[in-house]
Amino acid sequence: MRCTKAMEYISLDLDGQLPPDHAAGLTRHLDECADCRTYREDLQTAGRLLAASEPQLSENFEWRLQLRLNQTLAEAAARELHPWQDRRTDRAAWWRNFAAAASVGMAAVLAVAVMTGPRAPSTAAVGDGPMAAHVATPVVPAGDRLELEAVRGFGYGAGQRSVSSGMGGQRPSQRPGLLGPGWSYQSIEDLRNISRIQAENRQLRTQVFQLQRQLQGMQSQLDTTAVPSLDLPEGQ
Amino acid sequence: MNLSRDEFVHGSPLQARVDLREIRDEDLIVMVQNGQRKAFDELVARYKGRLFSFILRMVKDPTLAEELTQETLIRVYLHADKYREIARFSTWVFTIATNLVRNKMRQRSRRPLLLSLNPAPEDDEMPLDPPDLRQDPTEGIHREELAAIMAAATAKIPEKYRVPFLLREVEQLSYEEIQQVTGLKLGTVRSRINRARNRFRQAIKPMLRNETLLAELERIEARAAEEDNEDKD
Repeated sequence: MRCTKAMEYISLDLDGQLPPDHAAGLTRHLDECADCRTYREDLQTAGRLLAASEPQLSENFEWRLQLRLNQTLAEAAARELHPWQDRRTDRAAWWRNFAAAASVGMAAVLAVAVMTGPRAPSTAAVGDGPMAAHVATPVVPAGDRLELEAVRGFGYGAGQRSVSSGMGGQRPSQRPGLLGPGWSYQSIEDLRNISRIQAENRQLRTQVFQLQRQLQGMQSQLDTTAVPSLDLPEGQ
Repeated sequence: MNLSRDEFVHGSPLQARVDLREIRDEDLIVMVQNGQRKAFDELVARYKGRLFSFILRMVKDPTLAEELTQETLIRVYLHADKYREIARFSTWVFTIATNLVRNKMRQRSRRPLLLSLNPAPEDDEMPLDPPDLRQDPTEGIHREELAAIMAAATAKIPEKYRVPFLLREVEQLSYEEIQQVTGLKLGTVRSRINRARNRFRQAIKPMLRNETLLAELERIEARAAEEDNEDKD
């Protein structure tokens, strides 16, 4: 018998699990092998040390256990008495999820509408293509066409004019359809940007005016409180 | 003492006279199922030390070990109705404890508390220093010190070997019960216990030859035997 096998059998033997037909072989090996005898003694001593070294719990362990158990039971009882508390949190979570899903859905619908909706006539497309039969061809002067191309998506001054030029002088609401032929969401967005930038300009002008007033006040105050020159007359 | 189920359920007069210390674990948990908190207190008294001893040797941290011991006992109380006497009560309790410890160790391995730039030396194969008994050889080693040294030595055994080893060596569960607790095959249980014993021996090898320590060990065992006899009387 090899020592590795004997060590395996020793472990089983200590637990009373060694089959009787192996016991005789192990006994013979132990008679001949001093190392395995020492190994067996070591395992026995190690087991005794482990058993004798039982760690001690802190003194108030049971008191803290009772406290914790009572708290757990009280929480469980509260959940049974007021189950709506849990349901309310569930409902709030449901509404949050619903709102998020609805936002995504709305964004998707808008994106599809923008992609597939009618577009503002470009200079190249005016009078051509499938829209030509339904859309009254806007009369765009050659100079304005160039401007329309140049400013689309950039500024607001010429863009504003190009939009009105593209509509041939008609108001959007007078046009049939959802937005009216010749109008696109881009055009509406341009108008919104124009009005927003105009409002910002007004605010900036007001601020500049106020700052100028403040500056003037400070300058006048500086003039009145100005100390005389510190240059002393010669000889002092 | 074995009591019939009717005596628990209907609360026979006998029950009041029964000393809870004489009742089997499996009967006590039936009493807990019927709402008797005293029976749970008795189970706590029986298992708190064993559970703490087992868990501490798994997690090494006494505070965490106490917390997990409490958690195990609370689960025993809350889920007492789920116990069926198809297994011994101790098997059921240690299954709960083992699962809790494994979950906690998994959490700790995902969130290491401390990262060191200098890797720790590979000390798995290094035996523990024996306690310095020369300073006061008459007093010997305290039980708490011995517990700390043994916990450190046990912690050197890889977890997969340590669980069956402690269940066998400390809790004296049978191989079949360890199989139930761990879900391992019987052959795997055998081989893991064998390997764990080998590792544990390597870790405490210097202590195994220390005459003073061995003498103190005999004193500790004698005191424990006396305490057992006093309890029985």
